[in-house]
Amino acid sequence: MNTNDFPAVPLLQHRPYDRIRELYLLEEPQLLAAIRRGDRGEARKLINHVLVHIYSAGEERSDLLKGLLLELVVMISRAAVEAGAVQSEVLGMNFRFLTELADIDDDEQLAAWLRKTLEHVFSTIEKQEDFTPPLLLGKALDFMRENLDRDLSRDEVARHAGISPSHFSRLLKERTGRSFTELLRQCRVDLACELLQSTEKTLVEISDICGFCDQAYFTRVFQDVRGVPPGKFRAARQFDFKTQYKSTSLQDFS
Amino acid sequence: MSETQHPLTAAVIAGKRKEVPDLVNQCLAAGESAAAIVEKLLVPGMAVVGDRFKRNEIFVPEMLIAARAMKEALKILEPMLVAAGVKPEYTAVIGTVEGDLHDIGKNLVAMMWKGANIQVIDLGVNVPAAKFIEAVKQHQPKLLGLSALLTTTMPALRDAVKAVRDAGLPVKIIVGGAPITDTFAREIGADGYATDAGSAVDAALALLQAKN
Repeated sequence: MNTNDFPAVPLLQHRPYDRIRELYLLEEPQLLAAIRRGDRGEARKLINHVLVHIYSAGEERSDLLKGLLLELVVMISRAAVEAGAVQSEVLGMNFRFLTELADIDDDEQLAAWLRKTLEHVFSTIEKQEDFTPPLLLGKALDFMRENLDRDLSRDEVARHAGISPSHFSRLLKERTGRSFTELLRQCRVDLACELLQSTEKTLVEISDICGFCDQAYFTRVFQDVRGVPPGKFRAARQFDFKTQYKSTSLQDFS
Repeated sequence: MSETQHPLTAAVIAGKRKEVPDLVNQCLAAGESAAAIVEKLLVPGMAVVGDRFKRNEIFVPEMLIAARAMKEALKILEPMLVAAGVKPEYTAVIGTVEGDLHDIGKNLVAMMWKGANIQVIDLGVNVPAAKFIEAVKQHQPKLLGLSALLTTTMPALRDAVKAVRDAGLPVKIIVGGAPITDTFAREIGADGYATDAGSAVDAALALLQAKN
């Protein structure tokens, strides 16, 4: 092989950075999803796809290899911050690992460094669980409330909030103490209560708006949750409302 | 595991290349044959590494350093094996297809096959179909490994398989690389396929042993 005065030139011609960056970005959503649901095996597998390319490009040149690995770590950290990780934690970590990387001069140390760094980044992203749920759950609940008039599955709601169905169930149980089905039923009944009190809509109409398949089922579920059938509930509230209204108006006139 | 791991096996698993020569020499001094060291200490070590990789427990560089540690041991042992006339049971030829310059996946498979005590003739990267045919004629391997890492080189993989088949060579072909699927492998007429270097050993042994 000819000696090359500019060893970086052929490497740049192959544009390893661009290709690897593209490949990583393609896999990033899956990677983040895998880490969030605690599936480190899948995360490692995805990272390994990228690492095969990185090591193919930089195996013979340790400075290039270190550069590519560093960029990989930075890209994942950036994704972690965007997804809500504590920025100072991620950046502090990067700086510490960067300093270590500069001193590494053999394969074994590099392999150990990479494992430590990646596992640490994984943990940082996993820890976000404590940090993001209110937001994600809020999104999920909003979506549920906006779509009460139709059938809703747990998977659909979870997908809408951008979390895995099983993780969504776990979060719900933790935060609300209820299952998805229980919560959905509660939301439907809450809406029904509101409509019973504030509108003149018939029970059939309300049962339809709240996503119950028929009025009989609506009545049964409603009674289950509120302890009274919807008709009685409405009558009682309207009575309350009227007496309340009367009393205030009496006060007003007194 | 009730049995304690031999230090040489442990050194291969941990990829401690620098410790390997001393440990190999100690084994030799203790009267172990080169063949026994390969079979009882090195092969099981690489099997552990391949397994961990397959189960997504380790990263690529961890596998690489283990493979390099194994290579370090073979550097000492291979001349002895040759001198003693010991030949691995199976031979395989391997290379990446024309247009594909990515060698790490292929290298890992080659290392893992060596680790499984298969003699591996590595033709390197960017290998034209004619060169594969020539090598198969020359070395008479039972196994031919073709690797393509990019979707753009998948057609070259198809061409290489076809060329080898057309030449009527009695060799089992195993294909692999990130974009390769089981369906694609069967479609182009390969005998087997592997998604990663860990499962490449299982796939290879399945083909080799089926033939016997």
